[in-house]
Amino acid sequence: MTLRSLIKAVWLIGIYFFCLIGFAQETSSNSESETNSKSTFFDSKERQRFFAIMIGGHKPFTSGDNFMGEGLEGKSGIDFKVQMYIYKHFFIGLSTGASYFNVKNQELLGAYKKSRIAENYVYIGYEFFPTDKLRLGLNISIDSDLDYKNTGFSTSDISEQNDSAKLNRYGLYLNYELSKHFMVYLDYGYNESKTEIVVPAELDNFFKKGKYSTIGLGLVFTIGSRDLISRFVD
Amino acid sequence: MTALSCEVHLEDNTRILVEGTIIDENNSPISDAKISVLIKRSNYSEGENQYVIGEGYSNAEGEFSVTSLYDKDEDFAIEIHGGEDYSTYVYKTNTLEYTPLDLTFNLETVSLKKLATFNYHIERTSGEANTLRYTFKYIEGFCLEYYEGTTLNEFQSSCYQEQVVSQFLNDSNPDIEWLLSIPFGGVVEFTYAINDEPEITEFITINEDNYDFTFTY
Repeated sequence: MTLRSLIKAVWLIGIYFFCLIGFAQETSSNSESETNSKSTFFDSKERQRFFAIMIGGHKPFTSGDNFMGEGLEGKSGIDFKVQMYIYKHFFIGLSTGASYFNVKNQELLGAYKKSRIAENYVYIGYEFFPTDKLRLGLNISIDSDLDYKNTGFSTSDISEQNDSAKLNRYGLYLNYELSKHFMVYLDYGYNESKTEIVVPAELDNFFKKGKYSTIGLGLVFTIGSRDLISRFVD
Repeated sequence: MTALSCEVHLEDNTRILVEGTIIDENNSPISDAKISVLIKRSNYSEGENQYVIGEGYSNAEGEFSVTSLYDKDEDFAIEIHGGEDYSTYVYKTNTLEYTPLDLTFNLETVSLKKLATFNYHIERTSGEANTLRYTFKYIEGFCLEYYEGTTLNEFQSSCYQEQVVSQFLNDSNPDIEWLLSIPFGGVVEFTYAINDEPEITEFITINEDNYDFTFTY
């Protein structure tokens, strides 16, 4: 089972799960928030959530002396993430998205004009509360699946060529709360793509890792007011 | 009903390196020569229906290092085109049977010949009913070397081979004007017969970049 199919399966289960539990929890959450008003940078019971769904777009920026930094130029990207708060503000998330690039130097990569990376990864992180309206999240990927689809050949008889990789991603985001369950986000991600491309020894360092950063904007919808463990422990 | 597809699937997760140096007959480097990595290339000087999977240019020292996609193909080729001024070189092999060690195609030193343009103009001035049968023999500015593994197969190669252009001029087609690309310093053998009289042969040495040749009969 690939990571992509695993993510799809977990998504369906997750959506069912938070519809069932998240909404049911809403009715009892008001009384909780009235009794727990203490809020610090590290913890805020009244701002506790169960699920967060993020939908947005991003701009990728390639960097470094590697096949991405020298050969690709970022165009745009899309993101769709779901994260579940396991205990307090520690969360685990699933992300699926894509980043789009133009090839700026075919001599270094091959004779194609465009590259699209399908990004699927699992991440963990923690959320902090710097002000009443802001949430600061830090996250890191723990498993991933990247698929480069290279297109734009001189003939239509070659539709695509594919490369694959694993992702090391370090991200942070800032959410601004517009209402209890609705926020906007600004995020930054540093991505290191560890490729499986077989190349001559001379090109090994150049193709082994690709580096790109992303700056994204989007919307956040949250559901529930208690983390997963609290639902069973409390 | 069966749909026929010509779709080519390149090797996933693979890149090759094509490298070498391009010089002319005086051992001077040739810069800005175009290096194309091709599949489905024919053996003719002008390839047909070939697909480009890698491309680059030589630098000021004549050196090139091109990263390319890869395909296992019986008509895999690396073509070096020195522009209008130089001959074309093609390295060809069957990658279904041979993939080089370390995915590197090192062509080492490739020598291109400087080309001249031979413009010929044949005009009938003797009036109707006179005919001319002529032939130009020359060496074409094209070299294809076919390798089986690392061994040159001379039988399948065609490097700077003799070409022949023949035509019969008569009332319906009395004049002709055409041009040929020929290695500079080469000799063109011009053989002709007017009104089916005995053939006469002339040798023309191409010693100008643009060599104009006019013949009247």
